[in-house]
Amino acid sequence: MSTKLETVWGSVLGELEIVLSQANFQTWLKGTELAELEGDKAVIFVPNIFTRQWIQDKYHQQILSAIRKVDAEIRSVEYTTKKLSIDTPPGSDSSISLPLERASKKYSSPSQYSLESYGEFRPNQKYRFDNFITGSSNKLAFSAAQLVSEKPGEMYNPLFLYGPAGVGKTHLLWAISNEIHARQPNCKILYSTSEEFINTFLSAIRKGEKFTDKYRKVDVLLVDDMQFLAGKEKTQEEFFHTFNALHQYNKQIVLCSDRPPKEIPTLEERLRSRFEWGMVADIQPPDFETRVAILMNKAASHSIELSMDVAEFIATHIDNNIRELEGALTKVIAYSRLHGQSVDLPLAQEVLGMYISKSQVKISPKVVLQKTADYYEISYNDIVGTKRSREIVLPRQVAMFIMREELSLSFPRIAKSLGGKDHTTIMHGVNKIRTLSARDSVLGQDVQSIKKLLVAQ
Amino acid sequence: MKVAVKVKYLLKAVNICSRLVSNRSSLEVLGNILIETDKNTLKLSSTNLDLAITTKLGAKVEKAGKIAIPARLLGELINSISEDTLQLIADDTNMTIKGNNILSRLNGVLASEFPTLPKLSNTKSIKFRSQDLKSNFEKVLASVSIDESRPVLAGIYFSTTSGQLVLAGTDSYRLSEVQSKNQGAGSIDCIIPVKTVMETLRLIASEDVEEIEIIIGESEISFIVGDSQLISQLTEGKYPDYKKIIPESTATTIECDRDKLIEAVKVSSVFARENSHGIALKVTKDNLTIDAQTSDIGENTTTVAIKKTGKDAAININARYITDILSVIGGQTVVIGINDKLDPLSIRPKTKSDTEVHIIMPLRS
Repeated sequence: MSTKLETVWGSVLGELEIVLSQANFQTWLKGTELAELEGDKAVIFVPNIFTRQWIQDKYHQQILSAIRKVDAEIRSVEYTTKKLSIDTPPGSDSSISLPLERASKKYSSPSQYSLESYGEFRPNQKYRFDNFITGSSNKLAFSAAQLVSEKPGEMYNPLFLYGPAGVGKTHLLWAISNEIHARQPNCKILYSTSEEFINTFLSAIRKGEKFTDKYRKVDVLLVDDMQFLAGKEKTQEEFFHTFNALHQYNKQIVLCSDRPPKEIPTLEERLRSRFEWGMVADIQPPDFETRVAILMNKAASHSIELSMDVAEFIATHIDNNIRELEGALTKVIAYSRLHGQSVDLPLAQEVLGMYISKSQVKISPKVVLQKTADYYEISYNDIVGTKRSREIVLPRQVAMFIMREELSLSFPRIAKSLGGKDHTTIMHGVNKIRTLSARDSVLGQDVQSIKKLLVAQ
Repeated sequence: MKVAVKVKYLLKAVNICSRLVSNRSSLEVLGNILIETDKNTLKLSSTNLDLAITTKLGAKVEKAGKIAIPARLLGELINSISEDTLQLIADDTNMTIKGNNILSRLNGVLASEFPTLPKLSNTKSIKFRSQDLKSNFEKVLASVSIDESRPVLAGIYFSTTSGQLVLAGTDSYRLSEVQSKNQGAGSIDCIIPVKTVMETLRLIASEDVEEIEIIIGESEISFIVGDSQLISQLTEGKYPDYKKIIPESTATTIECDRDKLIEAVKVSSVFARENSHGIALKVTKDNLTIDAQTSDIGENTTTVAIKKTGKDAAININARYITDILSVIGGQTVVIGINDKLDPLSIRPKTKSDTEVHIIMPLRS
């Protein structure tokens, strides 16, 4: 929704910038935003009360007439210093509890304990069980999570949830924390990402300190994104000990990952077997009915009535990620509010048309070659040509590798796009980059960057 | 504008206003002080767009008017002349200052260029004895954060309910809370930026008054101190629910003389260079032992006589946090509470221990 407001405000600012002096514009209009356009009223967010007073006194007429050029409906403009917090991301509030040691590192020593790590658990109220939509794809995980929150430490310990991005793993993790907190306010709950765990561990090693206190003193430990522990041997060992210490005293452990324990590469055997000890539940992308239910629920929370055909339209076209699904709905709603139209199928088709076709765009071999050549700053003709100097051969092989991996093209097809080479040359190139990029992190990053370039276009 | 003013009053007003003036602002007019007549007084205002100050002084107003004059110029001039009374005569952009022996002409700026100061809406007002408020603010300022990346912590929590005023400050490593009685006002819950509080303390220091009035609007606050008024934005956001962090009971409680403890901590902190001024407190029978060491400097042990109830205890703590708090705490005898070496340490004054508490998180051993 913000993008449309930004566009409107951008054009208003553009006009004012011409009229006002640079210093005036910088002082008074920098940091202002259009917070709301509803009916005939526009609400403008201003960074402080001084700005509010000045804009009201001096620029009100100019702002009103500029806005009316974009949206003739607008009759009144109001100013507020209160930022609308529609969706505050988790942890962005001012709590001095979770997550830990986020800020103010610069003037305090790391050995100083923070009140934040001591303060009681502050739940993230956005994620609850009652706003988690269940369907066949996540029923098992959901009921396991509920059981765990009713009797932490007794059933399913550890609980290991896995599934692709945006299917609700973090939602369930927070829901468990919230539920346990509601039932037993004195229970010490620690929600951590595996990255936080690793960082805390590393900083403890650097200073030669013992790393036990924080993680081993809790009653419930929830760790998100376990897959990042892959390959971190020392951290895994520490996690292993933490795990044992907690498990021994029947403290509940809940873990999340984007894949099952078996498939996390370089995860130590003893950890893997422990993860599989309790309950391993998967969450799959939601099926069609669940997607429709999620959309209906989300719309209801915005107090918008969503007709079935719109929900079905969105659910048909966005099919694997709930974040994207909700994003698409937000976009449709925002568009309808901005233009004062009702949310119906033609509107949804119009708004999402671009979005949907974009996500299905096909990348051609030529694009891969061009982007790779651009990335390595060589010419397109060189990369498809026959020169065999190292500066050219490597990019050429990288392009082969990407075409094979990302576009799943056959070797002869890749050979053809490279000006008719032998398909064994291609096989050699692909294999070479595959092994090299696993070993050489610079090359690995190059490959990743080029892949990003392809998606970004 | 045509007015006659006493130099000493004008000097005080210019000095109060100059504190907010910055010459580095991108908007030139902010480097000015707005001078305007208000009935039979002269009103001076300045702002840095976070705060605004207006201050009034008695004057003989012959002709009303207003103009903005560069603060530095005006300050340097008024501070260096030895006249008793001055005449200020101004048109829109020029001001003439006339004394017995001097005649200056200052280039100014149109008053309409100067920011209009915010008006407060839906206000509530409370009055405080200025010395009480000053000492309470100073007590919580000891713990407050100066890191503006977290605005809520760079502010003082200000809350009134049924005759009780609560002030709190924390930088997330330590916390101070003061409670006091106050009359009226109903319930207010807000966060005042630390800069506003510090500026208020300066105003209290320069205006010798018994009572100050606080006016709180929806998102702004104003302090009326004598002839001056400070206006500031309130910090948006919710103050952390810190009450649960304050320990209700402590396993070890010691009583000791504040001055002796300050002295002992200061001596030890000479040796507490490394590790964030870490000193080790050890409580035994009736002694508090303070140890500090830095490998390339040396080490020190100081002992303070105490009265102990509860278990023996040991805890590592930042020496500076302790001295910060001891230097503002009310009362000669202090009560220190310790639970575990990982739990926060609490410091209270012995008398009125329920109205003031300071919490410090320990250091890793």
